[in-house]
Amino acid sequence: MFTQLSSCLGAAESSKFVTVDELAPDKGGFILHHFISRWLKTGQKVVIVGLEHSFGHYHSVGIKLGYNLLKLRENGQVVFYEGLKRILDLSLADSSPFQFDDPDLSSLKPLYHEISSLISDNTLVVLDQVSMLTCLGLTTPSVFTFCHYLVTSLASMHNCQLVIRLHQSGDKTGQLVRLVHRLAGLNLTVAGLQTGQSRDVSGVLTVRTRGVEGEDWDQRNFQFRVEDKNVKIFAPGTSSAVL
Amino acid sequence: MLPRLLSGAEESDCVLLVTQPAVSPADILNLFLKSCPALSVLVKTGPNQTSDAQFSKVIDLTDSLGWNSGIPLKFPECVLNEVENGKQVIVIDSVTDLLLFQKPTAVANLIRKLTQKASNKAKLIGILHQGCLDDNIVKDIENLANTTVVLEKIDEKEAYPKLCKISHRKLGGKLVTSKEVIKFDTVGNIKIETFQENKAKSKYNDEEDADEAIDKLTTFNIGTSKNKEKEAKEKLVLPFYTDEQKQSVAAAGEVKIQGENPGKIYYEPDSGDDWDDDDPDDDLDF
Repeated sequence: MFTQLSSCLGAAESSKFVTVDELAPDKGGFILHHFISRWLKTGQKVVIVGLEHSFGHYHSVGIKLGYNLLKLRENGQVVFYEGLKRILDLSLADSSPFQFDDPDLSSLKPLYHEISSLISDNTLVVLDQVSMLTCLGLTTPSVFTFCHYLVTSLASMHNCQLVIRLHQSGDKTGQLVRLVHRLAGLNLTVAGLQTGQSRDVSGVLTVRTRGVEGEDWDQRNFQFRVEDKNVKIFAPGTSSAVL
Repeated sequence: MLPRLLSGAEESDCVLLVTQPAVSPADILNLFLKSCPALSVLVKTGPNQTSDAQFSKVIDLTDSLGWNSGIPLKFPECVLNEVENGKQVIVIDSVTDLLLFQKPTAVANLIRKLTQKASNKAKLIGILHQGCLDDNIVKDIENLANTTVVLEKIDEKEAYPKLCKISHRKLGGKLVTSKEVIKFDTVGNIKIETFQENKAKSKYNDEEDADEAIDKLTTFNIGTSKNKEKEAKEKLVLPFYTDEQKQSVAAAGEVKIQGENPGKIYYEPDSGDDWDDDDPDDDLDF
């Protein structure tokens, strides 16, 4: 758990539904590991739906942050759902429940039911990353429907949180991002620096928090630096290299 | 226009609130609900939306596709059967979700039938989000509404004031548009004012001043154009011009060459020239 990230998110860190939106590839992974370590420290269950990375990736990062995902998986505290592998196996099966050839709104219904069966009260669900489903030929409405049902399912459960990571590149994924943002209580957008790359600043983090009933979203901008075992968050222009 | 719509002076059976995903339409929606003291019905399509508390009836379409219950709802009958005829306000939050989960023709059919049901000076209010659907579908749905209110933030960093762009189709078919600003007064009440374009333009003027400042700071002209270059070329006075030619440049802006035929060459020999009228080829013996 990264304390500086936790302090800049504040009370919104406990939002039921969090989106992590990447404008540059592989910039937002640290946020997922922050939420995973936060929940593991309290001894609660974590379900990771891997659509981009293998279990080994999360395990190697977890070792650096001080937890052993292999042991936790054996204990049952961590459940890893190999999303891409499962979709591939089922698609190649003789009678596939997934309809990728002719996708419609119900294409991801089997995936939703399989993931729902893993979720119970006091669970963190990490969906990493949803934009991969559009690469498989699924339409934006079908992916949004899948996210909608996951959100409504967890909304009815006690003390659950859903973190969805998306990658935005182009109009189609932008439409999906805007649709999914509407469901969330906390939107985190991670982007690279506009002027290029820097050794001292890894990127820009925009935190949008849903207001109290009727209020608009509150937006705050930060810059961040990803280190080996830590992430530093600071106001724009105040990195240690400048001051 | 907005106060007239809220007071009922302008009749509108169907109001569409078009908003950006980061802008909440709750304040405008509350204004419309307060202005219509009638039975209020909410058609809800998902979580994190309009609060149920202020509505007398809620039609829950969160599981309209039946993924949880196993039985998909029959649309639009699932809504039409729950709404009674008579004076009421029906709020759909959101039309965006309905257009994603159902066919656009079915949604249009629902809006049309609900508008007919919401008779006797009551209203149908729908919430639509920009950037989440194809533009063609959004335009078709906007055409179904009598009134479209597009909500935007004037300042990206501030929640208020908000800009409302209103398009209202009157009973006779005439389309009236207006821009109004919603802000809070010192007491905390919502205040509606006419939008003034000058305040928006001053923002662009500030940007132009920045360009002028950059031009002043640089030592060379980085913003030239063909016209400017041509004008500068015509005004240029070269050092070999005669006094008369210099005067013509100052007067008319172009150089005039003396003589009847402007194509001729006028040569003035100086002291170093050997001027000889003899034919230089006389000594040749051909």
